[in-house]
Amino acid sequence: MVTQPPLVLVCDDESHIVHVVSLKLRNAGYEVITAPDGAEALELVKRRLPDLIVTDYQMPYVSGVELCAALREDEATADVPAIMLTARGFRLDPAELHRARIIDVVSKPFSPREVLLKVQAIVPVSGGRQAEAPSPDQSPEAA
Amino acid sequence: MSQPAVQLASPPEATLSPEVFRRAEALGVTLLRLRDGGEARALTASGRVVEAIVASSLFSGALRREWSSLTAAPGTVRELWPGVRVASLRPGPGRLAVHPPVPKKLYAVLLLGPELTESEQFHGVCGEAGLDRGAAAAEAQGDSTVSAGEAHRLALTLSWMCEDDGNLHRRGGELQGLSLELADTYEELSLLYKLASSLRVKASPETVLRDACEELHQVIGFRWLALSLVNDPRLNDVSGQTICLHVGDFDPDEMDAAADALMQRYPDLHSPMIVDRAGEIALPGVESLGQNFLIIPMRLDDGVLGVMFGADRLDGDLISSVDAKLCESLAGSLTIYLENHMLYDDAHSMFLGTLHALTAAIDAKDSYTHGHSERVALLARMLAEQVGLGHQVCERVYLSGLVHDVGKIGVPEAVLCKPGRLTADEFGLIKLHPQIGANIIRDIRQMEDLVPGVLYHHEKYDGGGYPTGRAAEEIPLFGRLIGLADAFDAMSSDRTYRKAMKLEDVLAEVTRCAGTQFDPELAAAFVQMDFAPFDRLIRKHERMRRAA
Repeated sequence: MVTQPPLVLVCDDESHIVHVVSLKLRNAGYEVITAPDGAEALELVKRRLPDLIVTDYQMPYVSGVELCAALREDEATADVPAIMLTARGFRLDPAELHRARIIDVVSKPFSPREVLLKVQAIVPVSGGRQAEAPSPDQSPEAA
Repeated sequence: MSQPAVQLASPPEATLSPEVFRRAEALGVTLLRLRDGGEARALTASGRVVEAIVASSLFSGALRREWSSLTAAPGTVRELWPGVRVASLRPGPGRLAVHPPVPKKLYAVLLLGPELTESEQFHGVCGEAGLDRGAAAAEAQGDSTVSAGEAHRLALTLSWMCEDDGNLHRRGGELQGLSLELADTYEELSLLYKLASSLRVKASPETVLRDACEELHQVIGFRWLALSLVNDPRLNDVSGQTICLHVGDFDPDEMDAAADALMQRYPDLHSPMIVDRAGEIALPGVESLGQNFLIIPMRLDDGVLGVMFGADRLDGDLISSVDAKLCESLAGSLTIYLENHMLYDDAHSMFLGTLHALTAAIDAKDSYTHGHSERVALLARMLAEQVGLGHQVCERVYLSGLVHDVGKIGVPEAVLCKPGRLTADEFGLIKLHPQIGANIIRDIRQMEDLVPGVLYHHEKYDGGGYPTGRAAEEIPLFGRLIGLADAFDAMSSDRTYRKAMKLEDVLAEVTRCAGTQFDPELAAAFVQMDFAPFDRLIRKHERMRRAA
């Protein structure tokens, strides 16, 4: 089987953040899909299961935490790891993060380099997903 | 931060995007690639008739004739012969050029009209390609043919689409460039934010400087980046140090020498300096460190504090003013931090110096107790460390030990230094010194927490001490620690009324009095200690007393 680059979903209602993060990830060898809000992200993951989600916290319609919580309810997406971006100084309830299985939180203004390092720590490029086999058991184990 | 290299040669030729091909095929029109010599090639899937037309000598000749009008206005339809219409398409945005050269190659769209098969030229094309004319005519009519008016509208629409598509691509490129720049800006912002929150006076300057330089080195992408400071005792650990972060091998001594040389070479440098060629610096050995240098002076009001310098971007670009600005703002923050650190160090050593002077003054009242306060302070801190108290607390115990006898200043010298037995009245005067001492330091905000050590160091664990007669845990910890250290030093040194006892005898006494005079837990820990530092201090004090 041919290994493909890992697929990362970047979700933020601020398009410049989406551009900065996805460019950084693409340049590092990731395939990136993007969504401008949590609702669209939920639709998107049904069609293509990402290896990792990088999502903003505050978004219209469906917040980052709500998005992750919704992913956990569906068996197919329950194990997709997530990293959350938040405004600096924004207090998040650790219990809520734990329930939504959000592995890491990065405060804005963030260093794109650090976001990349965190992504690489969870899904290294070399250890990418196997070629198209979108069954749920192909998804990597959540950390 | 990096600028794309400026290309003065002709710009790379714009191409039609896949999206344009997809749309042309959906519309049933043929895209062509044309050359000024008359060569033509269909780029989209096309039938035998189209292939035959495009390959014909008739088409080629007509192209040569019409070349200048075809290139002049994209989207304008030229009829090569009845039913065969061509319009050029220009991918990308319309460029403003005063004398645009006539291009040698073109993209174009071929639009066939229903009148094609009636034309005399159609016969010729079929003949040249060896096609049966009747079958070819049927096939051509089956292809989507369009009227002249329709052809005009289609050509115009397609040419606009190509232009828009080109614009979209250009914008995409710009967006990518801006995103890269934005990513750099985020990186810098996050760096400065991190730096600002790490600049606490209490953190060790070495850690702060190294962390800051490491972050900056990562963000700025230089081959190496160094920060070197002048010799100044107030800089403690980092005085005269050079911190260097680098990719690949570097000789630290060489870097040190370069830093010193740079500071001497540019003593009056007030703002960043970019040097494109190491030769311009004219310092021996500098060439081996790199070619393209950035030098940022770090200055205090009264002179040079140090220098931050780095060389050669890893991506091969020249160091820019944006790099210089970022380094300058970071170096500026570090300068302020170090200046604060130096002021803090000044204030702190002033405080300690004053305390030592004060206690030396008390000890001087009685030559037998010379150095007593310093030894008690040392022993109390050793004991605090032995029982596992935190570093900060141990330091406060030391200071409390240093001032524990400050109240003796209010006891007459005749009583303090009296050889032989004291009367009850005289002993009453001696017993006042903890309270006097506590009163002296109580109002100094920075010393408030030392009061318990001063006030309670003569209490006994069984409640038989003074001034309050408190017992056991009611005696504050500082009082119990210093009380034990005080008694140990008294027994270990000569007094007016007896000679010093041997260490093992003193320790036996400490153990014997555990639970009566001393806190039993502290006493047990005390006798386990290594007394070498105490012995060294006592010998030092003896030497000083003899010299006096």
